[in-house]
Amino acid sequence: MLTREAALLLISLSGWTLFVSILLYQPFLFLASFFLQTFFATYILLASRRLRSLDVEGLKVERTVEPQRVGDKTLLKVRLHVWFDSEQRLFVRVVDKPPFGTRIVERPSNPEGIIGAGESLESSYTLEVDPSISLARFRKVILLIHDPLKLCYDARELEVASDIIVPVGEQLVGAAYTKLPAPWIRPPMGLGYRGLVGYDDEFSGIKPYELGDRVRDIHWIRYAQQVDEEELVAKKYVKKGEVTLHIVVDCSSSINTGENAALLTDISILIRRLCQTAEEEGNPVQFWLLNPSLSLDEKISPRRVFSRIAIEQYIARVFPSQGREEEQVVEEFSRTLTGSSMVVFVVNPPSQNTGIVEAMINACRMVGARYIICVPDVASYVSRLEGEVSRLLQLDRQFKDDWLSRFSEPGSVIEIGKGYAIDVVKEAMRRGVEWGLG
Amino acid sequence: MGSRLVDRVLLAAVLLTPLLMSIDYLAKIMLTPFVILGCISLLSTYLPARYQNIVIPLIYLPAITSLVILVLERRPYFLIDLAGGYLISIPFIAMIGIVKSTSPRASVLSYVTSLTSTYFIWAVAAQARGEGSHLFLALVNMFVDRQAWERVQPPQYFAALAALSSIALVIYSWRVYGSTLVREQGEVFIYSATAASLAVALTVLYSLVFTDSVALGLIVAATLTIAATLRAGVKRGWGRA
Repeated sequence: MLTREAALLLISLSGWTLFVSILLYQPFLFLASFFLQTFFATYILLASRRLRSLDVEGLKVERTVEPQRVGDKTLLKVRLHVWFDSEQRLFVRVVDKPPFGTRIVERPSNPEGIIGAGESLESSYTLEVDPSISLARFRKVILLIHDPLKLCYDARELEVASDIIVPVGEQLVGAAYTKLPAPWIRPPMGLGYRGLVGYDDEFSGIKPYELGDRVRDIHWIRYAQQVDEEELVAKKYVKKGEVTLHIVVDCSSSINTGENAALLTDISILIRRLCQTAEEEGNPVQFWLLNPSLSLDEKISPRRVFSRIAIEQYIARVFPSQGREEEQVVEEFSRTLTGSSMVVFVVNPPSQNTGIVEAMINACRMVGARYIICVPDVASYVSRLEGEVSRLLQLDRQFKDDWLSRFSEPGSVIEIGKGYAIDVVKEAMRRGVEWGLG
Repeated sequence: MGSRLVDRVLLAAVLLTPLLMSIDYLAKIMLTPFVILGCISLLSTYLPARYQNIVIPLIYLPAITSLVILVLERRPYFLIDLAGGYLISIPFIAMIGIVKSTSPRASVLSYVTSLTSTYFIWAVAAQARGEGSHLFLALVNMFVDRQAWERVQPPQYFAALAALSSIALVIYSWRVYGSTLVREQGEVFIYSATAASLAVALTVLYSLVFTDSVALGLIVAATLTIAATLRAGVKRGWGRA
């Protein structure tokens, strides 16, 4: 490709040669202009040919993204490291496409330079993330390989995919709550009975005001009566027929399955879609993350998690961890669970927390709550199915079958195949509703 | 150190043709105080920022003075001389452009501008000397009388000087703007310069035999330019970038 500089140079020289030859003809002026135009045109021809024939197999790009919080803004500091595993040197310009939902606030520093023969290029820029975005998905990096005079270039695209879950600070969560329009968290009214939908709210008492409660639900009269305690009090409502969706995720090391954490990605998609479906139906979601690395407050969410940002915050906490979960989670789970609850277990047995999951399933059975167990089809996440891997997969399958056979309720087990998480959600919800009707 | 010296020598070679032609036309014209003031006042705009308080009086004082003389004393020659001064400063401004340019395009266009404007002023100065009139009046006369351009022909050594300057310019551009890869990818430059020199030589040889050498030159230049554009390709929307 011609650069802007080269195109303007050729246009200007052509115009000048025409002007000199037609209006102000002087042989020496004409020949000088002719020489320059011929030189630059030939140079561009030869240089572009050379650039096309370059072997750039050794071109490598590494991207690191560092999230930062500045005031109420979420910024991503992106660093690109470009190098060329060759003795040959190239002059390159790095162009990174900002992901959806971000905008550049600080232009790339040092985006061009020499690479190769031990030299590398470090470029960095800053993006501001839209508050509604919680996942920044970076894709290709374009390298423009220039000739020495930078009159033409050859563009090479390198796939450098990186998905960044944007961490959300408490301030932003609070801000997002206050921005929500009131009807958004209400269930649809007057639509008749639907599997997961209630009819109306009923006042059931008071409770301490929590982050996320609507301001209109503050019980001002009661607050005025107990103003000495300086604690806000909110009205508590229960929906007739409301179904709380409990999402239990076993964050043991066994969820780290597949290339590029493919199972983790599918679990994220599954959770996101489950939350979306629950939100559409106007039902609350509660998270139970069996992750010993987290504190109790971090692993058990409040009953109502309806903010997309808060959901992403919990999804970000789904990561493989070592150790066994405490029994306290089961106790808390049993206390919270009601007959109208629906529980989705995401688990990859065998794991250190299989016993805990089993206890939670038993709690569901005791109160009569519906539950769906989502287990991955590990074979779909493994690319080579031969030798020792094949035998291990057989063992895994055998264990899973044995373990799942203990839960004989119809339709309580769903397999997650690689890349089919969205279909699983539809199936889970359908089975949940059918169960409810049954 | 040696590299910088070579660059300076090349830059001097680039400036040689317009500079010698400028000296030649300065020797042809009558340098009155207002001609010199006009030339200096335009050139003063390139002074560093700390001299800005000098630039404003240098521009406005001669202009206002000549206007006042024209209105009060009805003598236009000071204003005409001032305009002549502005005129002769144009090639020098273009030469400053070559020195200050930061890209091959700026450098090449400043060079072509300096060369053309120097020839233009040289022709006007030669005509003014022949008529014994002021520079600016000679310019007006030349625009009115088109045949006057054919009466003045520059000496042949200008052609040799222009060839030298042009070659010096491409070498200078390659060395100064060609990043640090100029040595590794030097063959592209050498082939291009050789091809361009051969094209010029062929056009000159052609002109010795035929009369339509300009048309040939235009066809060759246009063909190469179109081929380069098509071969390299132009990104859609680069004009908006």
